[in-house]
Amino acid sequence: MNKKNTIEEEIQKTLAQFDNAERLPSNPYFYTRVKQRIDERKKTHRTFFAVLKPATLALLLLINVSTVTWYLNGSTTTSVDTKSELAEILSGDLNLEVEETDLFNIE
Amino acid sequence: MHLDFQAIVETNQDRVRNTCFRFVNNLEDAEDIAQEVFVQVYESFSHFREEAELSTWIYRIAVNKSLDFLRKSKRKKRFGQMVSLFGFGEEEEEIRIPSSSNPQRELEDDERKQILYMIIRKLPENQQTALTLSKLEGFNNKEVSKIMEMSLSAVEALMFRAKKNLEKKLRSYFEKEKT
Repeated sequence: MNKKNTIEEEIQKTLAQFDNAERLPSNPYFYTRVKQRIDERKKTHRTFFAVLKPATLALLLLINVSTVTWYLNGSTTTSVDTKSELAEILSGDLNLEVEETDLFNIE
Repeated sequence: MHLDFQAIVETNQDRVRNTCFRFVNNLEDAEDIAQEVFVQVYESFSHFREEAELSTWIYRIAVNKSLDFLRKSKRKKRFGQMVSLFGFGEEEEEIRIPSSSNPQRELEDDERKQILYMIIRKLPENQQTALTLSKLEGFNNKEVSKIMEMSLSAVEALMFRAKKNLEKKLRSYFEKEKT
């Protein structure tokens, strides 16, 4: 019984510490520190984008140039000057007979 | 909305620092978290909805950051225990004594305070938050409900469960101590 009472007393004394919770002493440099952190973040952010922006632009330019070069060099289109040449190519591709080829020669 | 950031920091810093300290129980960590709270306030001020109270929003950030810190510490501690299990490193101590210990306070009361904080940290996260905000930081239930984004009745029920749970855990702690 005595032990139980002692425990209950301890619990109450411990719970009473809610009222004795001490406050932190105020920090006069707190705002300065926060501002410093914000400025550091901004600086890092700026440096990152200062490097990233030209690098991205250069990369985009490179992609554009290489796409155009690839397009111009790798073009497989056949230039056709006359209708008869076109008919010849088409008949070759489609395995047409000579008389069927005439169908393309529409004047 | 005009942002007078310096005024916002100066008005809320003490309560934010103390709230963080109640959770992490270490002055340096609390200062660090509190600074991060205001950095986030500065960076995400555009996301702040004006229908909510500014201070409520700030304290919510403080609670979330403190809980994040505790979760990370727990993970680190678990990893540390795992490492020490294999014979590397040393086990972290269970109770962290606050750096700002007041020598004038009685040793007994200090010990009880440490026990109280230690047991509060063993409660489920939402009970821990409600008790810390209400009993240690002096927010009323309505303010706690706004910070925790819960209804008033839910906070009242939570507080009731938290107190019961705290008493139960204290009882079992002292019973073990006395044996």
